Amino acid sequence: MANIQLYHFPGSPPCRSVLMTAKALGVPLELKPLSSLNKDHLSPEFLKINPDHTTPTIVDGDFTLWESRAIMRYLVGKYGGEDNSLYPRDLQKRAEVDRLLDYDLGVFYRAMLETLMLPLRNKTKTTKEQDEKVVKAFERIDTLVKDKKFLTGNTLTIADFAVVVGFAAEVLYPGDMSKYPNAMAWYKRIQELPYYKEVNQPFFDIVENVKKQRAETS
Amino acid sequence: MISVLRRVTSSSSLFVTRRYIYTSFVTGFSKMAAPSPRYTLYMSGTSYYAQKVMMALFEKNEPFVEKLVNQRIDDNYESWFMKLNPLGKVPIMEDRGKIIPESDDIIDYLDKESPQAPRLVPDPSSDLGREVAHFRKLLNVSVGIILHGLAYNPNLSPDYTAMKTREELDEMIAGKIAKLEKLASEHPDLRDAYLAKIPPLQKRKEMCSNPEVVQKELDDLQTTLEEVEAKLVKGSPGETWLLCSDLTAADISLAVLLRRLSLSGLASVYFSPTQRPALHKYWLRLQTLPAYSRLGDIAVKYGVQA
Repeated sequence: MANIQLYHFPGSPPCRSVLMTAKALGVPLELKPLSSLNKDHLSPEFLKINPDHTTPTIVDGDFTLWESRAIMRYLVGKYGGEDNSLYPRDLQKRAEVDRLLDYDLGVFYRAMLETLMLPLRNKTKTTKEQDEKVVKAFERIDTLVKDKKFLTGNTLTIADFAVVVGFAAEVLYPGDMSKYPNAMAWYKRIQELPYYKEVNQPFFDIVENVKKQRAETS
Repeated sequence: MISVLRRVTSSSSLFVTRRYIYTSFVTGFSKMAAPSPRYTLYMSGTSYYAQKVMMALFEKNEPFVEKLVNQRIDDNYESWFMKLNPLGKVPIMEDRGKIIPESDDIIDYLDKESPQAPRLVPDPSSDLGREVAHFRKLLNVSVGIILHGLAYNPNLSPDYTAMKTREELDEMIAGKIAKLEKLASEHPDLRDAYLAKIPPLQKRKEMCSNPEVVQKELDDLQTTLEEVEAKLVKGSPGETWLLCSDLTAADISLAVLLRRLSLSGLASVYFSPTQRPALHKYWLRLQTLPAYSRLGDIAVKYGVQA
């Protein structure tokens, strides 16, 4: 049986969520890196696979799927066994994970992307309202993990994989992260996963490169 | 002579009064305190072989005293430890003064001395006993050569997450050899024991640097796990353990191996759900086994990943 193919932009946050989920499940992926700079995702070949031209996109035999959170759920469902703690079957536990995935999609990742990541890439300034959204987002996570090891309790779930890749943009935050000690402790815990560095390093490399470029041209 | 101070409180009718009574026991243990465990395990948070023994102890629900022998700072070279065990290897177990080295021997001893379920080492004259022995032997994989070998030859497995770089390993081995030579001169009574530890270190470095040796170990590992997969498929994947419905010492060998491989980023190479579905199911089931999770707790306690 062929491995699942993952079309990804190296360093892309939602792609990293999927990669970490696959690593946690022991599922090998055939990686198909795309270059957003070269507009690989807009090529006719890729548009045939995914007309939304987004990554991550997986191809599992004759089944194609995109949207990172849907992919994570799919991988756990297919390869996680009877009841995997990454996305538990228990109705209420699952609802908690779903709530956080929705919060990530609608609020948290938005704040990280629009206020921290895009301004770096596009060299734009942020509004006061955007800055406040980031502070609120960090505060939310800090409160959430105050009495927990991970976002929903003592075990890692795909909600952690979703939120942490946005949270990693804290490296771009000019404010003081020591205001959020619980969130930083949770972040550190996830960084201790054996596959964390391998999956997430490309993002930090890109950030370093862009920062260097900015420094040289400013 | 052990003297124990106890604080006793008592209450009376309407008012709670606290009376503190200090009682001194001259011999024996306080009846209120739990008896000291009979087993002491000299271990470290990352030791592969200590994990096998700990998993057995957890499965048997046998309490034990943990004595940390931190191999990363060469605690096992300390003269007190070498005197307990001239091979200077971790783990060793102590049972009321008796020292048992070698993880497999410790598990055999434990199973005999603490015969409560699960029966880890069934009678070798039985079919099950023979299978357990066979798989324990098969699963005695040269983990060190594989993992250090991949650190020296990362091209042999691109998925590998090395804990140490090649340079760090070279430095570590050179440091250990220098330390052993120094200790040999400082402790004449242990001189031979110290010097005896040097050739295996040199041999380890030679073997790990040699890509052919490492590749052969990797190929053997694939063959071993093929046989394990074939065995698991015959059972009910996810319901029975390797050889029967209960855990045996063969499962312990397999569990610790899978754990170490997974930690090294090699899960998808050796037990992916597409390549070895029964073994993947087994690994998923392991993660819900308390004795297996407790290995993670021990690692966290000592601030390591293992």
